[in-house]
Amino acid sequence: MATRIWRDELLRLIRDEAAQLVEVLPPPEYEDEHIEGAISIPLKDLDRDAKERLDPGRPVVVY
Amino acid sequence: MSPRAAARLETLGFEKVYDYVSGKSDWIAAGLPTVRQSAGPPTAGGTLRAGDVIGHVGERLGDAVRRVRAEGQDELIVVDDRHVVLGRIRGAAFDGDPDALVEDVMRPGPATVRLDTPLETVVASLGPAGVANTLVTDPDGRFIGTVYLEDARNRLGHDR
Repeated sequence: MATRIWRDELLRLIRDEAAQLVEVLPPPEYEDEHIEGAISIPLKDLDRDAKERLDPGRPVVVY
Repeated sequence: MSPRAAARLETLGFEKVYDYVSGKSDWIAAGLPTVRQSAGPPTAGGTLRAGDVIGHVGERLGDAVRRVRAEGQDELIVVDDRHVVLGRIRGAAFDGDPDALVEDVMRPGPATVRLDTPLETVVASLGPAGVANTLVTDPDGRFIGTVYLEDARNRLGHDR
């Protein structure tokens, strides 16, 4: 089961482990405003895009 | 949505998957960097004043008052060791027992807003109450600065 984290741990993962940040909300919400450095992979597209766009060797943080 | 996404990534073979529970709104409220399509309405973060005098739990009132007056200010913000806002001291309270602890003198539980609170909301809240300013904290309650009604009105006036 995925680990639930809060902001402090997210900042640490980005800083220390080059975590990949993924916004899984619908694209209009991503386009309106997203966390700097995050990529958009809507939930419905995860199966198709995750392996292609994410590095399995690095942490992945979804929001 | 993110718990389902995290679960799906794990079934796809990703081993280090995390769910940022409080999400984008928490990040924005903390004033951390985002990319946005439009400027959006003016927010408290855009008119923030820094430089308030901070008092820590356990500090004597007399010591705190000396620092406030040395800075030419008329208010003390009381925080704990994590910088979480606990209360404010101003006015006649400064004339109390100098040996009293600031947490025993402060007015606890002051109203706060976040960096992303729209200035329209700030004005609508402070104006009718006749309050000159309000404190700005991050989502964890840690003190960031102060937003003044006067600044908020000026900013909105310039934008109209």
